[in-house]
Amino acid sequence: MKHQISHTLKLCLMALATLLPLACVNEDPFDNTPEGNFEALWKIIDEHYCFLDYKQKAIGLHWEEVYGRYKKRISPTMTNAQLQEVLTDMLSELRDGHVNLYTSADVSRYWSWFEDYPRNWTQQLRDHYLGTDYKIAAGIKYRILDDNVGLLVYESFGSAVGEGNLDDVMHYLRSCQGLIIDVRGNTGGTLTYAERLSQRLTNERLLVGYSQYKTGKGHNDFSAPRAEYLEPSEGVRWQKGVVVLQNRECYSACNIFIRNAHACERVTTLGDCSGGGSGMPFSSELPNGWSVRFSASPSLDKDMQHIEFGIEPDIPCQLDSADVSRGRDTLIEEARKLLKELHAH
Amino acid sequence: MSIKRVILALGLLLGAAQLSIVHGQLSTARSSTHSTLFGIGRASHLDTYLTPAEYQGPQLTYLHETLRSLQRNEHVVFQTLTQGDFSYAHNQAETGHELGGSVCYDFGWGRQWTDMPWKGLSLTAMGLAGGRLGFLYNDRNTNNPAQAHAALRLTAALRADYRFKIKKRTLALSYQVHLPLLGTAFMPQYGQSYYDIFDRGHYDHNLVCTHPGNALSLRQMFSIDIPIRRSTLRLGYLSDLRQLKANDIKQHQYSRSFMIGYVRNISLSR
Repeated sequence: MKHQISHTLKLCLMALATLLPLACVNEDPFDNTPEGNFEALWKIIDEHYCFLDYKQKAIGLHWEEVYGRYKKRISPTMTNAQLQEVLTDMLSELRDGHVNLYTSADVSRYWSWFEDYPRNWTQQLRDHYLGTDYKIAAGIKYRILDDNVGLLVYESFGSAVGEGNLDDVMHYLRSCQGLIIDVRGNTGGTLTYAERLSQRLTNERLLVGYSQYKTGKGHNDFSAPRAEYLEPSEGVRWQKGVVVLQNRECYSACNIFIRNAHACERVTTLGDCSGGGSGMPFSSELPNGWSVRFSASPSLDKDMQHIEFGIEPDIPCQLDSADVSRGRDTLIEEARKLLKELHAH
Repeated sequence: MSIKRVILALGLLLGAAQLSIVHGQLSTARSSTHSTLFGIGRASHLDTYLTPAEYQGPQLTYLHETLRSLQRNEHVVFQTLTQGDFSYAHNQAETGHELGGSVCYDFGWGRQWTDMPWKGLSLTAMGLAGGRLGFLYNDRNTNNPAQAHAALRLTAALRADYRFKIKKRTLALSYQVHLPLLGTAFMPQYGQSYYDIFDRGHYDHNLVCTHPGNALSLRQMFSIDIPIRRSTLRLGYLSDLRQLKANDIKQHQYSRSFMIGYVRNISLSR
């Protein structure tokens, strides 16, 4: 009996000692060298970034080819600034505003999605239309214009808005013949606030799009698309015409707001194509401690099409320089005309 | 084996075991040993959902253990283990930090053998059921800032106790090793956000079956009990190696702590 126990115990301990080193759950580390950091960043994007397959088809991006091209620019003696420059150039191949490389000296970014296009709004014109006696409800500025059209400006979905705020705004603007929602310059923020505002624009549950996420390291490893519905708010909902003003700076959560608004019956979108940014960003890091942000899970529109490069408006409209010199915002004036016509009908 | 069946089996086992605890405590407990230990050590975390980098730093640990032998059969022992830990770790470049914490509880029965070749030595083989709740928070991530830990498990354990005398004082050495064999644990999908799981309610195989093939983990503790006047001091070394690989996500929490605390022996008679 004693020998049996002793023998069994020995076997158990030997099995444990053998099993554990073999089954260690570890990630192969990269060296903290320019080459190691380059390899680590390329791998993070290769395994986690959610648009590699889509962008191969849409803009001819080949991530393996990118590796070969940028690997040549890496040398063991390069400085941190030089390394960041090369890594930024490599990330810019993705053409994604949600991709950033954070170092103590700089934030690498790709902003061509709005910098290469007309801005289509100015702060001076916005201030002119809002005047000085506009109201502020959390992140929303609003007033009634002279022709009895409501103007609601939401500059950033990073600023919170509550259901009570929205009830008060809708109640105050209830007598207006139409509503202009100006989200030009809104580069996103919290998705909840974007959804909260769009829920005020429908009386019905609407299919607005689909969402996916990666289920593995492969470029095509995605979950089945899940339908996303816009539920009507239980608070005060807008029952008249709405014009949403959009420009190239409308990005991320604002892009989702435009997608949702686009699906609402009484909403017309006016302006330029939105900026896009339909991938929810995740974070990771390099061996040298630099932080990287990248798109991890895509949102699609109701036709299961990508909206990463933006959403076209119902009515294209650009800010006219002659109007600007007269202190007129072309987009707001067009929206006022449209709402008057809608109200007349 | 489906996850639902595993959860159901674990639930039934936990329920049955709890009933037995009450029964054992009220009617058959003969003597019990309670130890409370506090420890300090180092932890290393890896969670590829948050970052591919391993974070390391100090850890504080609390461990409470109860060991009872049952009156109806002195070779049967009942053990409970409650462990809590909190760590603050950083990456190699010291540009990011992670806060980690967990609480786990295990209980179970064992068969003790005292008739051993060496006087004072006893061996115990045990089966335990338990669970763990915890978190790991990375202070600079955006939409993947934290990972929640929730797990149920059935564990096999071995312990060896050796009592010996030095200058009329009885000291006790103890070594125990715990190996989780079967359980279930929460895990998001590879690129799934918590917003998607909890705000949108998109469950997608977020409970995974755990076994040594995907979650080989090991908890070992070595301790020595030193009587000091009417009290007993316990010094120990705790090595807790937890691992999980599921949904293409890798996790490990390794910790090694030096423990110090006290032991109380309680005898019950009727």
